[in-house]
Amino acid sequence: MEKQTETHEISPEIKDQFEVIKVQPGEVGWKGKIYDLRNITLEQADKLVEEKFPYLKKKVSTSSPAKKDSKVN
Amino acid sequence: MDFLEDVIGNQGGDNDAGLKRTIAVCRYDDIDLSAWPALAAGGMYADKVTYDAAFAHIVGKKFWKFTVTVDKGSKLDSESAGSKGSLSAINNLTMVRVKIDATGAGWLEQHKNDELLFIVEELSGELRVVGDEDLPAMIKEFKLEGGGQVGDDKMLTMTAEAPGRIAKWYTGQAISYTPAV
Repeated sequence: MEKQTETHEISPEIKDQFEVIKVQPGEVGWKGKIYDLRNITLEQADKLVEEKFPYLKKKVSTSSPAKKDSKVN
Repeated sequence: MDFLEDVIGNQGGDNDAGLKRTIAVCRYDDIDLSAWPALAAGGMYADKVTYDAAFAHIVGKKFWKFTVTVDKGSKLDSESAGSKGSLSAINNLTMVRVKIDATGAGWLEQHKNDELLFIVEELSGELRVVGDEDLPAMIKEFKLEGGGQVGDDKMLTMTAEAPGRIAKWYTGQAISYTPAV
């Protein structure tokens, strides 16, 4: 069953904030809907993570609190 | 065996028959059998027949789609097997695709004797698993009906059989159509 070939590229804006885990970016069924992880919106990604979707993880922000404070000041 | 809870009637809720059109299927050995989902842990009757964690595949493997025609007879039945005191279950998944083409026929030619696992979605939205731990499903029979008159249906009908346990509900919800890494 392995004959079809596909690309598995995730969109840059999603890649910035989320990480696809356990599977290559592609189609996944979840709660009766099919999502293509290569084409989801940020809003969908947030909702999926909130629902404990097993193939998407939010990246931990790398900006330190000190930096944030300095921006405010 | 202890009783667990009262079983009450359906108070006007939906009880739709039949299956939605997309059926997920893979070769049984493409599943990571060492990570087979455990039964739900709630200790109620529903938990006895529910997997609440996702299926995982071995690296490079995934579920594939087999599309059936809605409301033409695709269904999942479970019935008893054996006699009093030795009862078991047999599940029959009937898939009807109102189209005879080389792709459907080729699928059958390729997989007619494979050990398989199916996940189907009932019209109610509930997911069911056909095939159980160490109890794969297999195609039991198929028919490519050509029809004899212009008004007849031309369709592919196949039935997969999974013996042993009543087909589980799947609240793990995730079906990966993209390869595992």
